[in-house]
Amino acid sequence: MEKQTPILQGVRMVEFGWAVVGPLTTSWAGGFGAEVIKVETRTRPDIIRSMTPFKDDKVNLDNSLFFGRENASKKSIALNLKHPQGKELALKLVAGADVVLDSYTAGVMAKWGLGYEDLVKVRPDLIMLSSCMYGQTGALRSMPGYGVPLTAISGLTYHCGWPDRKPCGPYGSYTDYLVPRLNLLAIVSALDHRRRTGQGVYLDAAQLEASVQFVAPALLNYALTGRVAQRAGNRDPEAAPHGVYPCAGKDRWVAITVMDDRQWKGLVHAMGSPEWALDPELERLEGRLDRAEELDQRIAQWTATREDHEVMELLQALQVPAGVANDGRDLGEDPQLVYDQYFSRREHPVMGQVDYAAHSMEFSASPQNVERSPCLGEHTEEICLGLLGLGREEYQRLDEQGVFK
Amino acid sequence: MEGAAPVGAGFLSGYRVLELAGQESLFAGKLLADMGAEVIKVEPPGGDPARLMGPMAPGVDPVEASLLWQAMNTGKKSVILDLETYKGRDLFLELAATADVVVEAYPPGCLEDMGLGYRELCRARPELVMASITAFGEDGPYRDFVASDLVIWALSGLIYICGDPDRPPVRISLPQSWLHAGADAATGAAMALFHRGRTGQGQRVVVSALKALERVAYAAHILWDARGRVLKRQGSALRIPPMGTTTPLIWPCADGFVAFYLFGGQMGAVSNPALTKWMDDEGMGSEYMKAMDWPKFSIGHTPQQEVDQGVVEPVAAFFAAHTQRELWDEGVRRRVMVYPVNDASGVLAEAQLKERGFWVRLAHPAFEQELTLPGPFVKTDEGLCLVRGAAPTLGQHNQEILAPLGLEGGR
Repeated sequence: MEKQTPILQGVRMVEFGWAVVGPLTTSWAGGFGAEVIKVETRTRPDIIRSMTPFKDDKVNLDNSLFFGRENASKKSIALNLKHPQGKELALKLVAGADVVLDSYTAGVMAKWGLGYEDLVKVRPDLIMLSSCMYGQTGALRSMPGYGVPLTAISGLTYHCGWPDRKPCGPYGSYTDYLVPRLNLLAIVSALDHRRRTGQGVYLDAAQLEASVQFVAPALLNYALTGRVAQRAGNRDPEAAPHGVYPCAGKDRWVAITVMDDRQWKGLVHAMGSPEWALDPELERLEGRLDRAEELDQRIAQWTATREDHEVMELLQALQVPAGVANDGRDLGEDPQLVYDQYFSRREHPVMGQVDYAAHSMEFSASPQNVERSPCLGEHTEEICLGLLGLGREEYQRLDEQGVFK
Repeated sequence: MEGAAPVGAGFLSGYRVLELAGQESLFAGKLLADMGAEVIKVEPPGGDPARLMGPMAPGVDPVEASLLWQAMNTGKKSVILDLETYKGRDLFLELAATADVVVEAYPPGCLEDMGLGYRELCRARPELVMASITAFGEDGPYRDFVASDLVIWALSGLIYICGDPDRPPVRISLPQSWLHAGADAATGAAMALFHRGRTGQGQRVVVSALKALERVAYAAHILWDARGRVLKRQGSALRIPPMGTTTPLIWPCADGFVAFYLFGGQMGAVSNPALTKWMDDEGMGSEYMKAMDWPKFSIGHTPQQEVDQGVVEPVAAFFAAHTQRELWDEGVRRRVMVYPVNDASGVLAEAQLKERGFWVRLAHPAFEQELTLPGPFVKTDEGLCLVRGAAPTLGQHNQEILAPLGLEGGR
């Protein structure tokens, strides 16, 4: 079937975002056809424009691959919101928008005269989502923050690491990559609600409240029984063996998980049915859990002399869950991701050829188009002369006044 | 089906969602229920296998005792249909004729083999939306691979960058893959409903957990793309070039751990002087820190021993002398960015969440105590996203759902 109309075609979103959560939310929407306009400024550039890695280590605001990855499929207008004309133009943008997203600390938008109360006057059926750390109310509402500490506060960091050591936490700002999923769910649900009722809505999206959804069973367990879940390395209370094992080569690993007794038989067969593995005690989960430490050592001995891909293919052929621990180089060559054309190579005017990642979902009848990220203010003139209807002279006058910084 | 949404209900009120068995689909269905859709969990006789996944509550009917189940099925309904039988499949097709969305996570091709693939379902309900959650996609070299949370962490590139350098890569012990993928599947279903509302066309959306987790490993691929370098796991420490001076990210305190990034330059210009003063106020000051011109402090240009003796050791001693709550509460007051590394008890104790009335308490017939769970992930004045009730007991809604169709459960 020919995929023609993107699902969010005709939906205009104005983003007042920074760092990852706000920009990634709208970037995904852009991939599914929304017209996304990112409002940013040189007077205080979006922080991830200044964050590594830069293409060939050249530091400038248009050369960060980190910014690029989270800002695909959108336009950028440079507006100095502290300038009265900048604010006026922002209001004009919003008047023609369906959705506004901001990811500033609570109160910042209102301080600029761009709070929901202000915006709904120019666009009565507006959908606005505000995504800050702790929500729009409560004692912490105006506390700044970012994804790394939020990962700790949400209970995720504590559960990542080894039981005999302090927690190490997952890499970087983990919650920055779960919150946008829920933000986008809220926005598209609100769009459908507006389609059916004509009503806009204000969404108070506290990143903390989204993040703790990802540890909900442990929270319920503690509240009900007083049991506090602990990090367990790669062990699982309901499966053994269950770990990440060393392979031939430098820092090469394969994950192997035996989720049931049948898979254990497959693993034993793959290992060539060594004497120790034929112990009937190991045919049942209880026996394997009791000897999890020993199993980990035995399996590590078996994997250590083999290539990671060889182990994965051998075990998968026997229906045993196994997967290579891909590193940053491997990802671009992973057969499945290549097959799916998950990374799109795009020509960027400053970075040159760089990869952009897609959203995890694909629709049968509607396309996803991942376009390159914008340079700072790249579309200022286009948007001002087009959408905002400014004459060229007026545009130049405002430019000279510093409105488009 | 396409009428106005009922007033005072949810964003997705008026839609009926059928969620097929399996742990992979739980979160997608739960989120759609929070959004107001009528979500019907279709369970095999004996119950969804996910009902047997821990943690388990002691002293509760085993089929209702899974706390993973209780957390991930709020607001749903439950009917029993045996899809292994012809009769059960016929009944399911009749139920599908009343539905807007089917959420499923069967291995690729499996539903087709059962005569319940998207095409067959569309014969029963032409504008149906189907959201399929897969590990690696429904086609391609990994199509028939068997998956688990840990295996998806591995192939996505995420696990390689998590953990201490001297140990194997490590995951979060609470499974995450199906939560990321489930959130995306719920989003895909809502988007497809929006599309259907505008065009009349239903469609299928397929989510790949592999892709969903690659997103979380954000820095791995771009570092290779930008500079041809492989990102390595660094554990709970930050190593800063050019000298490679390393500082801890996670610090022991009196009753647990706190997270504190020792930033140099402007990034630490607020926290560092405030922490210096706080330590001094309590008689635990460091002369090195007091003498520091913080905006000019460059960790990467300071030798390891100097940073350790001048800053890390005094700060570690100060943190070790205080509890998590003391550091968090007073840190907020003094604008020192020190945060609790919360365990489950710490999350439940967060004052901000209490003040916002976040937690919900749900009665469930199998439990003597109420169940405390996270509230809605997004707030609106109109209550358009809400946790709408406890998880259903097995087959609780057989009569309500199946009787109007002239059907009975396929037990």
